[in-house]
Amino acid sequence: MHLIFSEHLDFSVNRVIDWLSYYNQQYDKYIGHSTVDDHFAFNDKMITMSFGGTDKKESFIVKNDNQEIDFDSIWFRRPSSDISPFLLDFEHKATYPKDFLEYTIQKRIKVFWDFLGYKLKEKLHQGSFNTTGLNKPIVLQEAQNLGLTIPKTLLTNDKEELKKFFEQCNKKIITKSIDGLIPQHKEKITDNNKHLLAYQLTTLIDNIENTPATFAPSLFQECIDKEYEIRTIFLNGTLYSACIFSQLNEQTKIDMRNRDANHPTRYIPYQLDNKIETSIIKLMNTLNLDYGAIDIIKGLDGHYYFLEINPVGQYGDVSLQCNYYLNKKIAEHLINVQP
Amino acid sequence: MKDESKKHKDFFNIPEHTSIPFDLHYICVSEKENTDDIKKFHYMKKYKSKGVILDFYKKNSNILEIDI
Amino acid sequence: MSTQETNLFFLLFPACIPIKGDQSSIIMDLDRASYLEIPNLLFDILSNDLQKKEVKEIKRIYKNEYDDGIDKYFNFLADNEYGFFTKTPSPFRKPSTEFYSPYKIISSILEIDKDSNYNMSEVFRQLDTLSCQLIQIRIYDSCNLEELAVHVAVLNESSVRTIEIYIPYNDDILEKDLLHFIHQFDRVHLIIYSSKINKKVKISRNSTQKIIYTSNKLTKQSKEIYALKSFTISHQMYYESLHYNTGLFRKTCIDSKGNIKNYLSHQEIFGNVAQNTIEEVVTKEVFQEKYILHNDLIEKCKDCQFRHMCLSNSDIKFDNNKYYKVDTCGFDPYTNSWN
Repeated sequence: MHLIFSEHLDFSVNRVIDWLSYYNQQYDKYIGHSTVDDHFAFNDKMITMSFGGTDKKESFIVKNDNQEIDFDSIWFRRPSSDISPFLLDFEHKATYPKDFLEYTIQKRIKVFWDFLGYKLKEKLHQGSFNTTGLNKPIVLQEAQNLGLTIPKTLLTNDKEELKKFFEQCNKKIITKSIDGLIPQHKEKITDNNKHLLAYQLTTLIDNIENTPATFAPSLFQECIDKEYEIRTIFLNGTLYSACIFSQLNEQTKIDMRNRDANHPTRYIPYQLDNKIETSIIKLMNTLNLDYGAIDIIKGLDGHYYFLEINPVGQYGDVSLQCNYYLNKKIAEHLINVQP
Repeated sequence: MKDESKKHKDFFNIPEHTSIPFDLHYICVSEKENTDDIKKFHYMKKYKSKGVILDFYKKNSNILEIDI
Repeated sequence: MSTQETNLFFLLFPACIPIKGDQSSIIMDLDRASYLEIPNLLFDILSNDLQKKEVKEIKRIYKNEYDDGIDKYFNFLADNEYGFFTKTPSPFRKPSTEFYSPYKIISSILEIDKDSNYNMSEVFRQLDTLSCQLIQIRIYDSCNLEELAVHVAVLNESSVRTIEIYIPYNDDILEKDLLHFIHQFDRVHLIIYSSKINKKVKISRNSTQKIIYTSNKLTKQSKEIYALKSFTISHQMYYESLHYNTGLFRKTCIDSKGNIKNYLSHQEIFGNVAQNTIEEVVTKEVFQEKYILHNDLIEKCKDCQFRHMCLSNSDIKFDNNKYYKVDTCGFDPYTNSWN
């Protein structure tokens, strides 16, 4: 059985399931806490891992109703770090505060959960169990160390330093979220029966005067005048790149799904320089990632600027537009077949 | 999608503070059309999730001159 | 843009594909689902290796006789986002032209008359197992909606995307009954033919489901319509059309007697649902013979500029070493006109 760590709605998973089904494969989906009973759950399983001793004998058994489950592969598409399915309520009569106890339990279960992910990664897999561990400034620093060019970058809580940086960058800087995971900033909130969508964009700052005077350490970068954007999908050692000509209207920037039909976003398969490809592959290996959606800007100055890696980023548009068949490739990787 | 942050400025009323990162002052808010796209997605057993309906890259046949 | 500059190249976006017809050519825009008519001369110009030859060189190929025309057209194509000028064309790539589908059956049409006695529910179950995406049901004589509902219900949580049901108009079938029917099935469109009036009824604000009343008649002898507005322009359709007959590839039809065919109007019968499973029939080599007879191989179609957007289920005959469609269309590519 192939186990897919996904979330409630993720249509690219459907397209990979199409291919798993084409190859007559069994699969199951884990989306964290789910009320739907056709989803895989861990809290109803008996889980045993053993190792050590002089014979170093290892075992990892997950049982469902006394039946051992055989995992053919694991796809960490959108892994959940939510351990709440394990945290069922219990009766507590002692005077020791219940929330202290719960905190302690959570810590323990988190260790177990992470170890479970670590063991699952020993199987044939795609993606990473711990994607939330990616630290954006570390990624930028590592990218630079491995030969990639990154925009001038500043992390500070000092307004004076920010002002100096602003001047150095020709009065055009951007601020963006230090945490690269988009879904956390894209929540649907119901407010007075209206659905409000909160999201965060890379924001251009071209006037420093009316900006906050006091702030926690934040990330700033010079604004690169771009010729075009490049989206690169890294999949098991191979890079699939697309040059993206967007119409630079707000619509496209905010949400690709809302692009104007008359001004479509255009994609072109793109071949990055060998040197850049080698650096990206090294970076992905350093970060221990086998998948990532990578954003790069080709500057008007001719340089390629590495911006970021989204380890759970979408690949659907790049795959469709450039005819890369990434859904098929992911499925074939999971079932270990040669196309 | 229109950025309607000004209209909903109270929705995220973020104070200037030494513990609040700079970028959080630039959260955008949009009104999402209520359930407009919801009908396009329906539960499909195969996916153990919702899938897209009434949409495919080609037709089945053009047996009558109608426009669906 | 002045195309006099040296090192200036003009490239089409890969979603914009020039297709040559005998008399006239087009550029298909897969993103915008539209096309642009162009003269054959421009097709020839665009067929040069645009990635290797700068605009100046291309002009020279035509002995500089068409400099103004080339300037005008390239600028027009760039302004209207069919292509772009660049000084560095080398990183841009053409997409591969592969086409793969994970659906073992892509589309299916069922025919029902008053004598039909095959098990429709069972056919639906088999089609769903084979991942069929499109189903059309043509009902000729009277229609018992309640009975039909029992069968269609089999597809309720299937991965079928669209079910079109053709029903003959009858004074006894009230619109409220049709509405009651369609509300139970989220992926159904109803087409009421031989109606006294033409009208479209939308089911609800949030749905694209429709009941369409048409005065057109449907019989077993009805021929498919070929018209500009029935053409389909999409990424997958284009790549599929390069390798397969887009009408017949992985199509399975069941006639009123339960016979399994490539399409209802074809003479050849490959099995019957009463004796055979659909899977055993469609996996036979003889059933798949016509899959690969795409429009580039068929007389007349191969000279038509619409050949990669035209879906035809016609049978194909082999005569004097050439392929012909049995049911042909009213467009004549040799005069570029519709009869």
